[in-house]
Amino acid sequence: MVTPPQRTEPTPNTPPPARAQTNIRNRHRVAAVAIAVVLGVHLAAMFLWISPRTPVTDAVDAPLRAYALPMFQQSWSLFAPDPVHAAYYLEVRRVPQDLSETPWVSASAVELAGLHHHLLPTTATNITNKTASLTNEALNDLPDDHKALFTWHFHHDVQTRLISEGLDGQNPTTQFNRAMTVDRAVTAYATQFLSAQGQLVEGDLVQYRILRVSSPDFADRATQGVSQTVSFTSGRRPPEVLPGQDVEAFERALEAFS
Amino acid sequence: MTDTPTHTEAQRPAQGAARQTAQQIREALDAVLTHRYGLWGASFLRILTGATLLVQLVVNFPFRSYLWGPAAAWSQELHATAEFPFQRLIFGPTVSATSVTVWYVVLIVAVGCFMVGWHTRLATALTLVLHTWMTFSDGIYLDQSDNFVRFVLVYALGMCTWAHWSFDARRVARRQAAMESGEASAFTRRWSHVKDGMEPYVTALHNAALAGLAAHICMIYVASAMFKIQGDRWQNGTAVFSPLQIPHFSPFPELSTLATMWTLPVVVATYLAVYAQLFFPLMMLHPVLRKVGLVAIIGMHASIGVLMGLPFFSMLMLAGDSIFVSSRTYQRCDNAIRPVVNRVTARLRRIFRRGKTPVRAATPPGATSSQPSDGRSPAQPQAPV
Repeated sequence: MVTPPQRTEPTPNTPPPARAQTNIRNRHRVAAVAIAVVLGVHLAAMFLWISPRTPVTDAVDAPLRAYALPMFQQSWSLFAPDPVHAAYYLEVRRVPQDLSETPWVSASAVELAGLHHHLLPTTATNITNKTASLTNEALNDLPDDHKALFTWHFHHDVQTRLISEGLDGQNPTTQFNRAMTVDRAVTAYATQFLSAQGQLVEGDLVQYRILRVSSPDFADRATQGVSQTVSFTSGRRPPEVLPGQDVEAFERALEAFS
Repeated sequence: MTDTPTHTEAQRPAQGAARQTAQQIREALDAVLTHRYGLWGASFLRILTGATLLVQLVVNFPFRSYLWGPAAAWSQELHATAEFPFQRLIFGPTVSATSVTVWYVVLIVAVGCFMVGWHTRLATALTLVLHTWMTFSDGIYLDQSDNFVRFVLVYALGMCTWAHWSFDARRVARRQAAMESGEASAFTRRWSHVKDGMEPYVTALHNAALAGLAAHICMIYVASAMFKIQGDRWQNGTAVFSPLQIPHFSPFPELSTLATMWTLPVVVATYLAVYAQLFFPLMMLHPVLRKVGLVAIIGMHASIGVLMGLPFFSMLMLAGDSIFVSSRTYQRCDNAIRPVVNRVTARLRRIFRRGKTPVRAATPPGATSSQPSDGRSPAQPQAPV
């Protein structure tokens, strides 16, 4: 590839040439002023959008969101105000018809195999971590008594019975609907994962749980290691397959992690 | 009106100052209409962003359906809100595997064209649209590197990122050579005339986009530092320890253990990360401090990329930072690399029996050719290869 000379880039040794060398007209200058104004307004909006919350940003929150989202969406929660010091992992298991105990299988560990000792890991190593975090958030948005409903065992018609039996037929709140959506999605993931692993047989139920893996404090690093605690265990669910699920592509992806 | 002459005399300095200010504004406007600043940095931004995206897309290819296709159908209800119209038309958990694969390949091709600067403006637009479409289509995954690359591409749309090290640059050189030798077709001459008329607008847009991206990156760094210093772990100098203990942010546990084994490196790295970001804009204003700032930021991103397993995020951030490297540095690199590239190219041509010498450069209409910092003579137009 070859480089043609462009318009001169002023450097300490090459000051901009005089105006006489150019053919600039007033319409060009008007356009430049217009571009500068647009840029100024945009940068002012970005300054407010990016900065920590202030009374000014609160006052213009609605128009600011309308302008910045979704193209200039951003989040630095991974690093600030405190860096990430915990992650949520997903574990699943099949429950045979006799309801006997089976071992938990870590779906997150399968993804992590694609991360460890890989200099260029795939984006997909974070899916169950994200899903587990979402599930945790959705459940923690509920009052304790409503959260407890998701530990109930339903062997059929999960969502209908969560409302009719759990809420006594009351209209679910937005948060409850969100938790039901997430519960269904994680159950569908667990179904795919166990099927892909060849573990799920006809008549089995599935169950999932969320693990919180957290770092010790720096001061305790000599005496404590990474801790793992069960954050939530769901009730038993019938296998869930959502429309359009590509079972073979899911299997191929899991194989590609190893 | 005995005081009139005195009043006029008093106005003269003020009018002179006003005229001077107006003249300065006029000169500043003319400068941004006639000179494209930071072309080397913009070109390197294109190459590094394109290369990073390309590698990321290739690495994610076996997982395309798991991330943005029907293997993720289980997640189709998680992301109910549609940010864009037709959000799940070509990518997404409810789309066919064929559609995802075809458009994924189109995206790879677009990114490749963007990286090598082939029809760069079109390739940038296509990359922006397809990448945004893809990353917003899924139910759950959208990370900071996706967000960052999206607004870099928005700014890159306005910039002349094709100016150096690109196929478009070669095409311009060929066209210019044809124009000067009188071999250009009537259509080429007419097209060049139209483009010449657009030059001031294109130049102003390039400068605005470059300034916008530079300001945006500075704001991100400063805001990021301001968010950090609100946290206890950043204040007590142990922030870099915690993420490196979590398996998800520790792809090389041995390195993480080594990096966090002693207190001093942990504290120094924590404070350096904050200070490098907080003072980044100020350091960019001074030639020596700029080097210090860029080295600190490169070190920070290299650490994040390797130790925390976020190489694509780090490389994309570094691509953004590359616009702050001076043109002179890029020119030195170009001077050092070009003979090697030319030798390799010539050898390859001999192998393929093409045996032609590479074109150096030609001057676009109305432009002043730049004098390289090593004292070489300005590039002369040559016959196209």
